[in-house]
Amino acid sequence: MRTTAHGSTHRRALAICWPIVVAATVGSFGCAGARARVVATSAVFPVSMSPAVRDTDGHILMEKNLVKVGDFTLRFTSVSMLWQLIPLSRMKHDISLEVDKQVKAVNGEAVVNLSLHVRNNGWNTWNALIVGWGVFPGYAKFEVTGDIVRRR
Amino acid sequence: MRTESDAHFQKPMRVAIAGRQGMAVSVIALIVLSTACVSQVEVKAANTGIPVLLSRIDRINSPNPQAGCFSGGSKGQKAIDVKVAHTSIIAAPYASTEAQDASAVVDATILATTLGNPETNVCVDSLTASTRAVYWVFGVLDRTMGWLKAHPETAQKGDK
Repeated sequence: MRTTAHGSTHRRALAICWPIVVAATVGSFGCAGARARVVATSAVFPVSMSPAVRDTDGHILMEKNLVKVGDFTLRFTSVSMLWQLIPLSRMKHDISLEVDKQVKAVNGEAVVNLSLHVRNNGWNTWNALIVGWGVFPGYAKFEVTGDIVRRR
Repeated sequence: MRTESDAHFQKPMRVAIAGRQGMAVSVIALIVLSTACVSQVEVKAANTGIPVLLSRIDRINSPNPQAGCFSGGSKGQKAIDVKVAHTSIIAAPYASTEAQDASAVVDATILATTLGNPETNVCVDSLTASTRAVYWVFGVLDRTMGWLKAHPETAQKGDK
């Protein structure tokens, strides 16, 4: 009789504890994912996040002064594990070489409207929720886009 | 006929069954949440007329870096270093599917520091972006609130 009472206490404790376990799991996946830092310090061509870029004499050139000659696109994946504490890929991505290569390929003079698009993925939640609570590697996909332009 | 021992066994069993059902419902709910919402953040500065430079070269056909950004200022240009991505993501950390346009941040920074000097460049030291699974949860809340605002009649029915 005592053993049965003891077992029921265990079951009751389990029934009370599972919401706490679920809450802890949900809380733990808050940090599953990845990050990246994009720089273009050594690019030969000017790279602007706005539609504006300066001409050789310093005047600002806007869209009406520029003609688009191509699209700049660069995709990469960033990987980290243990809730982003351990990066498994480069955190710093220098896009200078890729900028120079793509701008030269279309005979452009600058990159404008540069934007960075980061996208999470289903694996991070599964990793956090089911597999390892964020211990295993998670990743994010990054896409850098822009317009390659030259003067009219 | 119900005995005292039956009653003793039934109560913890019901609790345990309720616990298992609750767990199953929770797991299913979380699976639905995780598949229904994908976190996306786009950082840009497309609505300002000021050059927002990620490169050290600030001019077309300029062989050497000569912008005020990194050389301490020249030719009337004022150096401003703005971590655009960082600022904009902090401004709206859980608008998980919306673009994070840094133009307002850029314009406000320029206005505050140079009173709108048109010779100013904004230099972005680095563009940092990250994504975390928790954004999904906030994204679901954000979308739900947005949907309810767009359909107020549904919210009112729910209140009744």
